[in-house]
Amino acid sequence: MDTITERKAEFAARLRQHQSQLFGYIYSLVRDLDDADDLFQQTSLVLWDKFDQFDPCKSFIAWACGVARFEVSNFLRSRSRHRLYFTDELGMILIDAHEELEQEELEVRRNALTTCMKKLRPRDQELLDVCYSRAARIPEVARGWGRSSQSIHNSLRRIRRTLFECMSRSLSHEEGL
Amino acid sequence: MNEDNLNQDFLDLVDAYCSERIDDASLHHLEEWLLASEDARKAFVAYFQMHSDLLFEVRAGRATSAVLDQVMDGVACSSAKRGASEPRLLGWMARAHLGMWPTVAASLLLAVCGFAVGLWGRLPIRPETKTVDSPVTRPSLANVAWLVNAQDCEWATDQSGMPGRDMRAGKTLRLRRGLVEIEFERGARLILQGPAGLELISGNEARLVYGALTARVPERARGFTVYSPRGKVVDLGTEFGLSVDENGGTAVRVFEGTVVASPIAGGKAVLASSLTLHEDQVARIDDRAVALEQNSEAEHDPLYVREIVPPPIITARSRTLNFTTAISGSLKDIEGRGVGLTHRLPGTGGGIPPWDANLRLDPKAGTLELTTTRSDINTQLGMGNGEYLGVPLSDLGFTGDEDFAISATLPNIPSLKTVGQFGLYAGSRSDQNIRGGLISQPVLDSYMLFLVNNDGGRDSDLYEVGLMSTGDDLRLTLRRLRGAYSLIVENLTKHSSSTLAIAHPRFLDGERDLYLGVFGANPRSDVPKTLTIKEIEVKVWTVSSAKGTVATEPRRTGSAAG
Repeated sequence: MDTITERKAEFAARLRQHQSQLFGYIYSLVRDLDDADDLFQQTSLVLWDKFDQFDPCKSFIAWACGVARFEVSNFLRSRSRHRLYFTDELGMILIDAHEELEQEELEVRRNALTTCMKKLRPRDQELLDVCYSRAARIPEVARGWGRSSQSIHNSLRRIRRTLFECMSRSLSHEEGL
Repeated sequence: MNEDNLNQDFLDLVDAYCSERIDDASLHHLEEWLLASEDARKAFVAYFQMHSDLLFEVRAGRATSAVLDQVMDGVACSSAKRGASEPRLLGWMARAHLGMWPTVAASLLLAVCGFAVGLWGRLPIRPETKTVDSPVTRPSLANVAWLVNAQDCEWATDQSGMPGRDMRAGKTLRLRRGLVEIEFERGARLILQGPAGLELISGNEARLVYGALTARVPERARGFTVYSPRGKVVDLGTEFGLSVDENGGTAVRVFEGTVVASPIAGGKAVLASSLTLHEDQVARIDDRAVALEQNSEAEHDPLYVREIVPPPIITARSRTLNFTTAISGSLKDIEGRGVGLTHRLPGTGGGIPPWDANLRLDPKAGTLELTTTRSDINTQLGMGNGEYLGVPLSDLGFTGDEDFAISATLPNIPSLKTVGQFGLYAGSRSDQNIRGGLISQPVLDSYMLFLVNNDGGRDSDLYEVGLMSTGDDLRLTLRRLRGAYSLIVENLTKHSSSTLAIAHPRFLDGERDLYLGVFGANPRSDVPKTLTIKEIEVKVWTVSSAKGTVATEPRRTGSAAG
């Protein structure tokens, strides 16, 4: 395998391993799925362009988030602001937290999430499915379920909290093994 | 409130953030929380990551096999080499991204064959040599270009004219205003100036339907071609501008290098009428001819934008003192513990011993106690004993013109004798400063807010307002924003806030050696009082150009100049 092919393979492997986290980081800064998607793609391209500069001894996710932060920051500046965003300073220090999350096995986290989702009541699973697929907007879901939007939001919050606690329990259990 | 309740409140905020139902005030609150605590940041990241993974999981479950099939058999993918480890890439990424955006095949490109098509594919493909010059767009799954930069841009509201994830051949982008920079697969970069319409043809070709653009073409993209309704411009490794007016009339200007311009008639380039243009030449392409314009300042020549210059980056540098540990190298308290503040306002405190009996650090409580002394900056009395503690702004990159702010939290304010005062200052010397805070009133246990200039030792432009009571918790902020000073007093007990501004003190403008800090004084009494200071934060906003900077190194940037 020639060097460039090896580099590509290495890059693809690293990006594959961290893509959900990188996406999560970008999404947490822009809070819009479509924007996050565009920025994720754009960032991935820049990462490849700059992959020569990446020091393999260092954390890939920290490096990738650093590049992403720059892309996000450019993007936010390029559009009129109808809403507030986190400051760049916070965007930067959140990278450390992502680096720590990386230490935990991401696969384990995802498995924990899947397991916890299965433990939800069927009705909660259904609500999660409808809302997170974005097949319908919350007000439409609310009408369909004969409830208020607020009540749907409350349910989603409760479900997320349940999942979060379930995941935390299951991860601390893993650690204890 | 116990820790559990705090955690609940925090998670409520994070959840509101996830669900995009957070208001500005709560967002600020969340941000403060995150800035202050590492644990909070970890929890935030874990929670948001769960939210983000949920989107992936749920959508993955709903991905349709039809779309999967499309990916597996996609032209783009099948042409890309896949290594032995690629199926997993297809597996997870495809599931995730497909689930998310099942209708947008283009997202598959980057997401699925992603790096195969988007990156690998850039390298080997050379465009076919064509004889027909009315380009036929070949439908393809592959994106042929990427948006790499944008400024103040507004797209046509109709979805089809927006770039989105779809940048495939055949896509026409309609930019209403602003600038966007597009990189083509082969490496050419265009800056499109709104209003403009641009059709993507291939990784090395485009058609300007209307409007103006500039193109920079590196050697590897030599041959990059832009069509217009009347003509065709083939680039030979250069930089040029092209514009199309409402009648389809085309003008081309070469900034550097060489291009070949040809008219198009009946769908074919009329090569016999082609003209080679060199640096600084301008030509119009009309009907069947390319005509060189004699005057390079031609009237039809629009103002071409050759570079998107980013707006300046405002960088916030801050120092926060929370008084939880002694800090060496700073002013010392009665027991020799460094309090964190490193300097005194020049001209003050000269007579105070190194271990200052008026200061007491309480690391357990996270407070600094400051006992006032008899001094008066108005008339400069007792300045040698004056307690005006602070930090030099130059420590935070201040060079004279930047905006800055200092905030301090003062719980449970004590009563001072008449004209007792405390607050914040900014200045270069004891007789060159602006200070503001609270000044006690003849009525026992009450204060007014004040902000005052001192240029030469005497107070001027005194502004007093409002009434506060002993025992209230306050947060004071003295700031210079766009050059103007103001004092913000938040009463945390009464949940009220006042902002004071006075005539602008020009005598501090451009001053490089400024100090920011806190002070306490009882000018007309020898009865000392002790103030408790909970936290001090000093911030400077420096402005720099974003050009050419890359964030592979942590760079402290902030947009919080407001």
